[in-house]
Amino acid sequence: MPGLFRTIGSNWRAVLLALLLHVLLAVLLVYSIGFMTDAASHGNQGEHIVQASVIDANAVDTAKPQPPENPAKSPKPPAESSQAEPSADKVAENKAAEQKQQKADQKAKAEAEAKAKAQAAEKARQVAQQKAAEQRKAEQRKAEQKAAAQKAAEQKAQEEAAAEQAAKQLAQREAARKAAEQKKQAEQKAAAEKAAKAEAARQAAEKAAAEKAAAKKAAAEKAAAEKKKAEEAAARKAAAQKKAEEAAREAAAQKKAEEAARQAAAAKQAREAAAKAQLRKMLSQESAGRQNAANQQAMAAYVAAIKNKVEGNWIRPPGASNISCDVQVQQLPGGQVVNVRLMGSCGSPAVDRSVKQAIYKSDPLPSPPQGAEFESQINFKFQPSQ
Amino acid sequence: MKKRSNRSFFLSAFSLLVACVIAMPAQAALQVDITKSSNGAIPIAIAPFQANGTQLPVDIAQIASDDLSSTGLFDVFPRNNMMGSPGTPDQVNYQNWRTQGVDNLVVGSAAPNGQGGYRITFHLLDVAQGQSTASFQVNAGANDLRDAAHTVANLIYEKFIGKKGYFLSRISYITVTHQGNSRRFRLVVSDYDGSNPTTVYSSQDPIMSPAWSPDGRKLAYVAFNVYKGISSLRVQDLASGNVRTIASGSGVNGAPAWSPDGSRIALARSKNGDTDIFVYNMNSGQMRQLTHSGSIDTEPAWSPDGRSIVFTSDRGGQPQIYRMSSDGGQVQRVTYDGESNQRADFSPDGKSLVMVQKSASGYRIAVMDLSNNDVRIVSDGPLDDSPEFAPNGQAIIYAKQGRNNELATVSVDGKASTKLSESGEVREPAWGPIGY
Repeated sequence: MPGLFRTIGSNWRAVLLALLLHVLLAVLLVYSIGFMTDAASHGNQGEHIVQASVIDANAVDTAKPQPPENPAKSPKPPAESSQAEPSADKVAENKAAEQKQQKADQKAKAEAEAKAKAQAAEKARQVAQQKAAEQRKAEQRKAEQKAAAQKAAEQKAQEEAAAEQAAKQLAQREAARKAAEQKKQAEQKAAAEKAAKAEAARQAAEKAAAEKAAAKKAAAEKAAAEKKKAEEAAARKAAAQKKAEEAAREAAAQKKAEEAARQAAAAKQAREAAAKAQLRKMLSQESAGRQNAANQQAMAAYVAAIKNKVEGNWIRPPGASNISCDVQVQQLPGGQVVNVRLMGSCGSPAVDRSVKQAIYKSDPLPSPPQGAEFESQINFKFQPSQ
Repeated sequence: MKKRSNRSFFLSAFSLLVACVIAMPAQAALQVDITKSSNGAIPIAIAPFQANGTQLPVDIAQIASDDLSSTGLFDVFPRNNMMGSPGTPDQVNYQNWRTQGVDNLVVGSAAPNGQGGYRITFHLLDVAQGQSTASFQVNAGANDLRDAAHTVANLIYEKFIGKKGYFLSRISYITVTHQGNSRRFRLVVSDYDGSNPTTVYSSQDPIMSPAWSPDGRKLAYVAFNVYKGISSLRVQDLASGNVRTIASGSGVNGAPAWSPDGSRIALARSKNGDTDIFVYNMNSGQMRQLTHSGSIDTEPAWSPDGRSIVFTSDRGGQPQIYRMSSDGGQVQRVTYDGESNQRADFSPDGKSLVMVQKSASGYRIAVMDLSNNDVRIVSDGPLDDSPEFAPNGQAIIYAKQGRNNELATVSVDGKASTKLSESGEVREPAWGPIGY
């Protein structure tokens, strides 16, 4: 035992590391199980559920030995490195130490294995427990749901019953009320009939008396009334006529006014439209005018350039007189003459030739200056003063 | 909203179309009025005519070039400056000629016509246009190549000037040569340019005033017989040499002028020292006096329509030109310019007169426009005489006298003058008809 402690003391680092690893493993296992439970409780996060379901004791066994190997191996190199250049005396000692180390290692390994086995068992137990808990929980939930459903059904039934009862009560109340009302109406009717009968009798008596008096009165009143009626009718008639006339007049006046207003409005609209149009026209004319003036100047320069060139190139046959002709010339944008057409003779074939040559010799014709528009057709009039 | 904008779009598109259609005729053409022309001569080049690689006995192109050049109306391009000598239009590099300012080019060739002569083919090319504007063929006998060359010139001339060329016309003139103490007068007929001169009459006594019959077959002239002291107005047939004397006697029998139809000859005759205008009828042989003034009336000339005659008269003190009807009535003075005016001749179109005007500068040739009486001096003087219009009216021939007597031609506008070479003293040229 003291040997063991000594070994541990001399190899405290390895022991510490192994212990640390175990703690780490334990934590990891606990945490992972907890996590899985957690994940499962959250619902179907497939992957984790699958892992959870696959796990069993065997699987855990095969997976378990790996982790401890690393910490067992890893401490070796520093030991070897420290023993790299020892003296021959120390070799045996070292061997013993080594053996001790190995034994300790094996022991640690066994311990670790046992611990891991225990942990695995624990884990399996925990899993089983968890499963059971889950099942229990599910059963509980089911039961709860059943109970809730039953409760709801009962409640529903109760409610229905209550509603039925209420409806019944309501119907009864309504029936009672109806009956009372009918009774009341019947009573009222009877009373009314009685009163009506009495009234009718009274009225009949009154009527008889009144009729007698009235007959007399009516005879006297009739004449006056008729007279008055006629007068009133005449007056009404006159008034009505007057009113009608007035109304007609008014209507006519209104109509007239409306018409006038409409006309005035239309006239105003038309005036405004005309003014607007005029303004637009003036504006466009003004700008067009300005443009025209500039263009005309440029066109005049263009014409003058063509005239000067052709006149400079025209050698008139000596003695030719009364020259007059129109010549249509087609030119390309570069001033190249493509066609010269004499619209009738200029006076003689020789003059015709000279005119044609004057134009061809002026090829290319001057280009239009800025602002002047190119014309593909030029109409020349050859008409010298003498 | 959308519908509306759609409609407005179509509306504007439509109105644009309408505007275009309306505007088109107005913008369709540019109007340019040509009221002036250049005063330059017509630039032309006549490339040497080839004959299947052989040399022609006559340089046709050169003769035609000289013809055109003598008129003053053509600026003939010197052969030495030509950048090639094309014989057919397809051999022409128009750009070369264009850059040298040659507007017109004549190319041609001559080939044997199978009858011992030649067939000459030539083309008139418009260099500016870059194409041929006329083609001609001329047949010529082996000995007629010079005339063929003049014909070529005539054809070109007519194309450009619009009138017949006078390069086949002939002239006549008087030459005087001195042999020791005696003189030899000759009546000579030659080509218009002085070449091919032929003497048709010669005498030790003076010969004067040759005049061509309108048909060009006869010459009227005055021959003196100093020994007899008479002058004779003769008409000589050039082909046969036959001579017919119209008037003869002491005093003046001179200054013959053929009527346009050739049936009459106006002349000046003197009786009792008073010279007047007469008309001789070639058919009837009758002589009729037209003027009866006490002054000298001479040098008659017919208007082309035969209705009037102009003549020189000193009835106003100094010799001036007067005009009358061909029957002698309605005499009017025509000239007032200068100290004196003599030897008038009508232009072929009857619109102007050429005459000798004496002024401070001497005797010079003047052309008068009968429509407005404007007078233009066309020669330099100081002793110019005997002007006569060329048969086409475009030139005037006259004699320059003084130290070197010679013949000269001048264009009617006075711009171009040419001297006709002839050795010795040359006087009184007369220009024959057109000749073809």
